[in-house]
Amino acid sequence: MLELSLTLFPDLKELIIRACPLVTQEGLRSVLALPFLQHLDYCTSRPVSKSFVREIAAQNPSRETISVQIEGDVDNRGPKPLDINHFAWTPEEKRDFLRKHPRIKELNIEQPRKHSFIPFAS
Amino acid sequence: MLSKYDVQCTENPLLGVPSFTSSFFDILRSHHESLVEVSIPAYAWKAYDDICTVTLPQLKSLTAVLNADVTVNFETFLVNHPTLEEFEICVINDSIHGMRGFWEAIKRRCTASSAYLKKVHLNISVLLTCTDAKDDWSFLAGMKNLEDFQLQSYFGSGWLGSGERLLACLPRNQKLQRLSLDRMDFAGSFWRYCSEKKGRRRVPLDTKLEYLRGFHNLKRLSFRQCRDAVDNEVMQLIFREMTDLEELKVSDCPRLTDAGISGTGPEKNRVSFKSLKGQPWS
Repeated sequence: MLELSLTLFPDLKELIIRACPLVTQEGLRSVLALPFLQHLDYCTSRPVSKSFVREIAAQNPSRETISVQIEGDVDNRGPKPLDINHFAWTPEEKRDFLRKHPRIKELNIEQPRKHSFIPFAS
Repeated sequence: MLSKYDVQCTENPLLGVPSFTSSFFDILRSHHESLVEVSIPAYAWKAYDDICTVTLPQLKSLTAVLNADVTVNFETFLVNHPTLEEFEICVINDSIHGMRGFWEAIKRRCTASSAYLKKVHLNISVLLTCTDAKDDWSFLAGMKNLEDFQLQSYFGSGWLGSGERLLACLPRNQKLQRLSLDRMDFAGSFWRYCSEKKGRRRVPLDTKLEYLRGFHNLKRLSFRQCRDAVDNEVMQLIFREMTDLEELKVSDCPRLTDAGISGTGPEKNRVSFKSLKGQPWS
């Protein structure tokens, strides 16, 4: 029976979760409120929405690094196409984001390729 | 008085490998009483000989990248430097014909200086060709002052044996705060991976998790590329046992799901958050 959560670690400063295909942004949502999490490195083949990244930043103003990488092509067996605008960052959006969150020294977001960015299986 | 020295190599354009150029031996002789930290890169053949020749009474930290061609009397070096606290060794290339007995020397050194060693980093992924090696981690048990243990291996080499046996030997005390066992084979995960690659029957994982218990003071934990060995159950045990964690690194773990991170069980029950430290946590 699963009952414990990463949220039980208020002292957590660095979290790296890479290439764990079944850990989605929904699963990570539970750790957003960790007060001392300064470095989050999440590398995934799943879509990570811009709103989620903004949510990460908003939840913890002392966070210094957010690294979200989309590796490879996402699965294309979904029922309907996702709106690329929800996921791909324009340079202006990145600049605007960093201006709003001056404590974040590094926003490392690999862009998914547009032609391959079609939804994963639901 | 020089306390820290990094041996420098320059690229030899003809050979395509770095060549050792600086006068390391002279530096060792001149500053042998003050040198505390020494770092030696790969292909610095003469530097290995030099450091085995000179005794550095204050040396506390050695970082060395050893290439296969080097013939270093490593055991002599270890005997000559009983004050060593930090020990970082990386072996590169896929043969070690120049370093027979290397592993035994490390074990003897670690056993002899268990009272001193605080930090041990071993990247010994190529040692799988070493036939005199044994799956014997008992030398770790005496390291009562060990604070930082990092082992890089080649996933599933089989040479290092199982991660369970290694963890069983590591001291469980208040000092061990950093543990990194990237690419280590746990719970038969490598054999499971192999059988799946070959299309054979899935090998059941050994789900006994006793080997992970007792590390209550760990602050930094890395289980990268341990593949199937890190699943939701293991994650829950980590959460339960290692309540002081400040850094957690996992990667390439296909069995880990959202539920393992968020603590929601398969029945979608919400978690009742109870503080592991006896404090209220909302």
